[in-house]
Amino acid sequence: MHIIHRRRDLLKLGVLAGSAALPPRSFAQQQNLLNYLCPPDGAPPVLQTKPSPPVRPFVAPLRIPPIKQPILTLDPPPDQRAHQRYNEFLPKKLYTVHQQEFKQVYHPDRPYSNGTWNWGWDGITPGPTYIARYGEPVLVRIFNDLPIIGAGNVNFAMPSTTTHLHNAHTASESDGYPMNWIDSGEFWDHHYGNFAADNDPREKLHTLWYHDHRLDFTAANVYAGLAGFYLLFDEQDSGDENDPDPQAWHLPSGKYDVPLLLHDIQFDQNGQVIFDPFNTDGILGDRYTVNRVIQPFFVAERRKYRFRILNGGPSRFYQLYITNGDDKPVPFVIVTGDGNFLPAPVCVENVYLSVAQRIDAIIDFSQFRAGDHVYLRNRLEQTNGKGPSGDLLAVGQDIMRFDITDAAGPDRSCIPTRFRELPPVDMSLVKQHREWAFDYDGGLWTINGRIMDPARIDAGIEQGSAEIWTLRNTGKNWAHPIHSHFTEFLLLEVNGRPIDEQTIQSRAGRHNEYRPIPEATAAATTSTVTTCNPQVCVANPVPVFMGGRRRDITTLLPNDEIKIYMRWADFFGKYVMHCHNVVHEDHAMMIRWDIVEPGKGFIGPKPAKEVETPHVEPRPAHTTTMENSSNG
Amino acid sequence: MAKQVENRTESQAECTRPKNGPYSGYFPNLVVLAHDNRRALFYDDLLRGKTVLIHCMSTRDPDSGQAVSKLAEVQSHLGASLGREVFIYSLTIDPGFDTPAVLRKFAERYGAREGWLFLTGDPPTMSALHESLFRGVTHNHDSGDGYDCSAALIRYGNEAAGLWGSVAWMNEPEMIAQRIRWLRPLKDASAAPRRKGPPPL
Repeated sequence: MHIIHRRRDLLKLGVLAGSAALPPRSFAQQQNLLNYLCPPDGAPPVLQTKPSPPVRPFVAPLRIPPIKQPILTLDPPPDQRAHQRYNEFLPKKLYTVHQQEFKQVYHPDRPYSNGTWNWGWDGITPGPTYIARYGEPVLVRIFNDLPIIGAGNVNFAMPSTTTHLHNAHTASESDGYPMNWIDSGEFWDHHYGNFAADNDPREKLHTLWYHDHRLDFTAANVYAGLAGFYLLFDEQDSGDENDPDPQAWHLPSGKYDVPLLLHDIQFDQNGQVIFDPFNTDGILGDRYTVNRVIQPFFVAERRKYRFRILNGGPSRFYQLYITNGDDKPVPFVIVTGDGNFLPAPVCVENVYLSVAQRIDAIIDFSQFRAGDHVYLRNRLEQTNGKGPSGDLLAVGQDIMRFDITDAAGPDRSCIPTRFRELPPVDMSLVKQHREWAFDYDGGLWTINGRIMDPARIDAGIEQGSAEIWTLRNTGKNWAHPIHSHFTEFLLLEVNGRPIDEQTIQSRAGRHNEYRPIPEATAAATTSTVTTCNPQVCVANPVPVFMGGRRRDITTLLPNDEIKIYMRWADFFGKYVMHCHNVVHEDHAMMIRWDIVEPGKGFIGPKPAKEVETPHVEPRPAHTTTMENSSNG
Repeated sequence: MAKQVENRTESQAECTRPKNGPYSGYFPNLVVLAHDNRRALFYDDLLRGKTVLIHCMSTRDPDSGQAVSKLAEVQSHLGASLGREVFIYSLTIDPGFDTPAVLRKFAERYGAREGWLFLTGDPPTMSALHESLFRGVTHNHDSGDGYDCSAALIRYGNEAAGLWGSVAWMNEPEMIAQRIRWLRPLKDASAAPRRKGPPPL
């Protein structure tokens, strides 16, 4: 499949230029068909020729999604035969949620005040936030109540959905596999065990999000609004800053624990969302939204907050600063990367977030005065969907504003000195090394020269084993945030440089940089007295936080080569790895990998029909997707 | 097909505004020539209200041959819908060489049925169409130092609804044809909610 190279040769011959060597009897010479040219309404042919209608920034309050409430029974009851290890993880809470189309207001200024058509959950986007706890399995029944094709107002998205809980440790059949979709009028039961991989508490995750994963339409469906938060708590990250349990970390909780879902959106002159299905590079919007509000404000008390900042895509990367308006960055504390706790909090000057990456930041507003304005600012330059340019914007763009008021009461929340150790790298478990090259060919985004085919398995991974994967970006101009489902990974090397627990990956201009955890932060980690002291994060911050050592996204910047360690336990079945620039994913930078029985691993690619996967494939009578019946 | 693709005459040479449709303001409504020598307005006659598979190709490019060969297999999966509500359009990127006569031979060679049109036109016309369908990927990619036309991509769309996706021609023919089925509105979504999955293991 090396289309381009051959095409290049043809170009050299002047064949494809069209005008270089017209045959004498070409119709094009006989008549000037350009007489017929009608400039289309949107000429030149770019959907985003006009900027989104202007708004006054910071006049709309931040909207915080409500907490999803469980129900008592499900009718019909869940089919326990349909779920791996159902009886070991009997659901303790049941939920139903409905995917719907509705109008929601992004901003009070016209035309946005008339409402914008979205897709979402229970009438809102982002959907409701699930509050889950380790040891408390849940079952979520997702109903697709979206209008059928052509009957709705959000025309660019596919009313056929499959919901992935990013990066939960979930059985294949509940993982939102791209082919496991439901159409309008159907539902799917998702069983979430809420347990740490291999029952190792070091494998816990805390800030997750759910989003659509429909084959070919993930970008459109997430852009339409099919996303929301899922927060997992335990006895340490207990969700209660006043928790009497001595194990508890007392991070800011309740209304001081705020999810922030970032999307850049393009609107038409009526305030409706524009999605561009003909741009394969990736799409950018010109309006920053937080929880689907354009440049909101948030009234923040003079105390500590936990902000769960998620880059919801589709294609924009961010470099995020906190400023108080005078362009001087205010350092802040990071406690999680990609949803898992860092071994210790890290003081940073700013954070680099590729698509789907998330961090939990602790921002202490007691350092400001009541009446102050503090801003969340993006300074990463990105001019097209392929990835950031590598330069910083001179000033930057404010995404939202925090309006500081006096605290309503004493701040009893803390930032602990240590969280938990990372899962170990156990080389004795490593059964396989694999290499994946991310490239572009003929309009497609490819992995090892191939595109997503659900009937092909590119890796057969043995349950209970570990593997080392090398991910290589062969492009000079594009970036890929690579995400693999089911299990987080540990960085071993970035461009040949070993990464260990004490190494922070940072950036200087266009280049990766590595440094030990700075002294100021390290000092704080040895003192228990200063743990709740806001002064912990003023000096010597990490210049750019690129994520911790444990991730579910590797940011492959141009020419990057990253080596990771992964371990698989607990379930069998099919999963995917893909670029989380979801436009790249849809065109079709994704592979299927399967967890198979010990001793039956393989390198791949292999046709799915040749691989026996006992316990996981539906019986023929229950086949739902064509991969089980076709010749693929 | 005759009903869908009107035979344009010289008297219609004046500019014609595209008729309303989800992307009527986006696609250039330009005159193209089909391999059977009929003229058509790209949006009004070929896209408006239709479900389509569109790719770009050239008769002198061996890779295009593979893609066209694959579409020839896809045809058999589309059944009677091809030429009625579903159409396949192969747009040449080599209009100087790919005249209707050349395209006609090509269509015959691959057994193109009614409803599969090979389209050519003035080079600026074809460039404008390619740019509207495969924008953003036609230049500046460092593994392709020129015009690549996204030759591996097939856009598929239901322009009655304004729903568009993309599929690579390397997929199995049935997987490509399946995309067309995805674009069809379901007849009954108002019945009691139905359990789709997961199915029993």
